[in-house]
Amino acid sequence: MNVLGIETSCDETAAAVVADGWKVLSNCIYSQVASHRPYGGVVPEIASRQHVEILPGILREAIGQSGLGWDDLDAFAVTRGPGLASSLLVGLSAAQSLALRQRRPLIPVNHVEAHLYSLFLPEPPAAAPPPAPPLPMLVLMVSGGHTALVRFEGLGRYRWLGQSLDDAAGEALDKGANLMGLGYPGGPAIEQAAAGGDPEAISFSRTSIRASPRTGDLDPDLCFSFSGLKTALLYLLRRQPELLGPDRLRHLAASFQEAVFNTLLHRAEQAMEKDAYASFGCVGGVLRNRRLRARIEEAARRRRLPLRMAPPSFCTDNAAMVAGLAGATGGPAPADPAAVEIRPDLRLSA
Amino acid sequence: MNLLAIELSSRVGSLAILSDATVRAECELAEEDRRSRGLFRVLPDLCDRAGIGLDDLDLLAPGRGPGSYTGLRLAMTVAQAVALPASRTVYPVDSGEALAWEIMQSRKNDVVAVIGDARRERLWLGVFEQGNDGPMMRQPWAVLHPRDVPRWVPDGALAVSSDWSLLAARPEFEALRTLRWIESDRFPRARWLGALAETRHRHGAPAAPPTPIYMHPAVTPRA
Repeated sequence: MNVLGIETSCDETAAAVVADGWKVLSNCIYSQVASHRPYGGVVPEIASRQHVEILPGILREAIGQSGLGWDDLDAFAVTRGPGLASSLLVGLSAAQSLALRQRRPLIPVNHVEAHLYSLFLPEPPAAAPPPAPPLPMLVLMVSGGHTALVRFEGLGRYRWLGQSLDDAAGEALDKGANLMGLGYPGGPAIEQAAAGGDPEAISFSRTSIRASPRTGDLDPDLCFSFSGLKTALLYLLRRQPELLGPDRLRHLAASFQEAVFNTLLHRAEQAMEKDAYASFGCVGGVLRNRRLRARIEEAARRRRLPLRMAPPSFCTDNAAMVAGLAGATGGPAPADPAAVEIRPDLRLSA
Repeated sequence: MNLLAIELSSRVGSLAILSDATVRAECELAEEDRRSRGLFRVLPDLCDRAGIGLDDLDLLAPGRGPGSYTGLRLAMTVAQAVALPASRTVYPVDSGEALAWEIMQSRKNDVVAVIGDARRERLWLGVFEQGNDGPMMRQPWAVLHPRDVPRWVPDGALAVSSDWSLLAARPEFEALRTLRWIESDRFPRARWLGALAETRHRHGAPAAPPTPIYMHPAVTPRA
């Protein structure tokens, strides 16, 4: 089954063709990061304008690189949410048009579920899908828009354990980088600035979370909060602006980065203590950070859990995970493409 | 030549299929149906009525605006996606120009000023005059304070707007009373958009860029 996937939920314009749910025939991504950089974050209006301009070319490129023709496609898949409404609409209307034009089914996909599915994609070129991980798996999701812990029991069978109550980890790094004058996007900028720095030079205290209306039914021990960390950095820099000096910035960047990763790993290990898992997984754009990957590997070793991390090509937003998930599950596929609507606040359901 | 015109710039959208300059089928989209769901619900029926499938289309003509950003993005995206598999031509046309042409034909007026609500206490304006292949732009699209609009509208021009009833109810409309208005909301229609695209394409006129006309920058510069 050949599926063309489209992903426009935020600031990446992406299209990909995936065969049989795992064989990535093409994976084309246009990152809008340069356009958003002057504003220190994603500007929704810029994002949707760029999707309109870029998507047709990305779709042509995805088909061209796949070696298939339009008539060889069996279905179209698209991210319907969660994400920016005006950006989701561009991807959805393109997918609806193509499905209608080609008389093929349209498979709407949850962006978060697609990120989870990136664990099942092999780094191309690959002759076979990766072996199935032992289940249940604890998955740490760390991206620019989402930070969460999920109990993964199989495709379509998830339990949302905890999530960030304020910023996602990627946003926290963006805001920290902005305070340190390191530019955007913050994750790569901080990683670069932290090279050779001492991650324990400056101690940032971890935010404790109590049950509240914000945590709802979630276990507070498995929820995240990064806003206090950002505020601590702000006040620290007001008291000690010399920390931004050439000899000290690397220590500050390394310490702030470590504090974000400590929060992630601490909550993940709490989840491992509270319940039994057969494996540990991690997905999302922040996972491209080498220090985080090393910390995750270390935690998995310590807990003696088999580890599965999304391949680097599929960490940031991409359409291969969308097309792959649709190809693997084959649905839900409404017969009528017109019935699909965007869902900017879509949640992961079991 | 078979053509699909998609016009979603105003409160009342429309679709039309033309074949060799003849309208085969058309439909209106009310405000609540102007979203993608409504459009994709009526499109198959429109094709059935026209007897022309999406794969039979040679030309796609989306309305570029000015107008609702969401509507413009939808029209542009749908046109480009439908055109992709068979590498068909996308020939965008300014929605305001299509409205101007309809008014020129129906009211026998050679100069038409198309005006719309640009929000933020501003109006957008474009002025057209009769040309050989349709309207010719005399005053390019501009965002103006209402009090400045009359200065840019030539004597004898007929003013038309999709937002007339909304504008006329506002105090700042006083500054516009000197204009000669069509005193009702008039919406650009896909059949006129399609006719303009067909004529110009046939005469080899270059297509406008496949991007909506945005009357404001994506980010408002800080004062």
